Amino acid sequence: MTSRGPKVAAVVLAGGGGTRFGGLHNKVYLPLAGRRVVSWSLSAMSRVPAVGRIVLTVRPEDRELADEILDREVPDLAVEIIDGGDTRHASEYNALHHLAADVRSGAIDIVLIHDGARPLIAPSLICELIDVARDVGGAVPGLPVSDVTEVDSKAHIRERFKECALVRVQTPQAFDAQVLLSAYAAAAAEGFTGSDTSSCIERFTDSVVKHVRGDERNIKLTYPRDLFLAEQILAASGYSLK
Amino acid sequence: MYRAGLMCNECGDVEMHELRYVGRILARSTCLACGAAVKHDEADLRTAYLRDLESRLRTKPHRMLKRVARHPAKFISQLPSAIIHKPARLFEEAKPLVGGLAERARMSNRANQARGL
Repeated sequence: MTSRGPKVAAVVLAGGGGTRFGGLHNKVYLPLAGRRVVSWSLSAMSRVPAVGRIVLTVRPEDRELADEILDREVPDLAVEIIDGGDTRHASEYNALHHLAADVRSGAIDIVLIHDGARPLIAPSLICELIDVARDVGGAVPGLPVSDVTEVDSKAHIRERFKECALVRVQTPQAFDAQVLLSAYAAAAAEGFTGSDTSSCIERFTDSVVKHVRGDERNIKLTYPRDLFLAEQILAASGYSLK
Repeated sequence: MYRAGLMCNECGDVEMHELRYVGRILARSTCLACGAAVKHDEADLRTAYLRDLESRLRTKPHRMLKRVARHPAKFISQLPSAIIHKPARLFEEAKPLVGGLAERARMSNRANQARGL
């Protein structure tokens, strides 16, 4: 891709997490190896040459904190901070609305949606997702799940899924920008709220979403032990994920 | 010290956790609902802290230059206070490690006394 061609927009979601505890306790603002979690996510996006715009969705009450963190930790990044919504779907919708003019004009051809609580995303995986999304329309990273069993209402084990049948989905998820925008417009018209980005695409479009093998290191910070693990992974990579 | 909503293994739900850092290294996470704690191994924490402190000292001039280039007035106005308070802040962040060493020394002395050494 040349620098004059369409660009990729990366949307990093940092608007949730504090549902019960308020925005100040959102895990994306926790320190991790000398930076806040969200700074690692944003830095990874900025290291992909195809990414031309980076949008960060935050809770309105976190805006000042986000500004301060970005200014201190990633001052060279041009990050557009916008208000998120009450749900992940609403935050994605707000981000797409923010990008809509460039999507319609064709200046942006792919949108990446990334969870800010996954700070260890490798730029090489982002590049692969962009390439696949440009080929088929959508790309979602995931890791094969081999230890899943179906259990019926009486707790009887019924069937063991084949290893290739299920994947544990990660982010970022990459989509054709125009398809994504039209899917979210249709969802808004119907009052549909998707659990993740690809669910909206599947419901409102015929676009193909292809699975790309994810990365074991691309963990979502959920349990306290994940923070310790993330710190170790970053230390092992010299605080610079390739 | 920081707080964040994280999933607790014991409670099986997202609960408020208190996170204690030694410098830039996460030392301990405690669930405020049930008290379940996850800790960094103490010996490894000391090694990690010292390695990280060395890295921080090495990169400090570069980080200061970047900061002064971005916000010169703010940097200069905050510099005297930073210089005065930095030693105390360093001591404060390393205190849990010093405390841990002192506690181990006390326990070792008690064990030696019990053995009549």
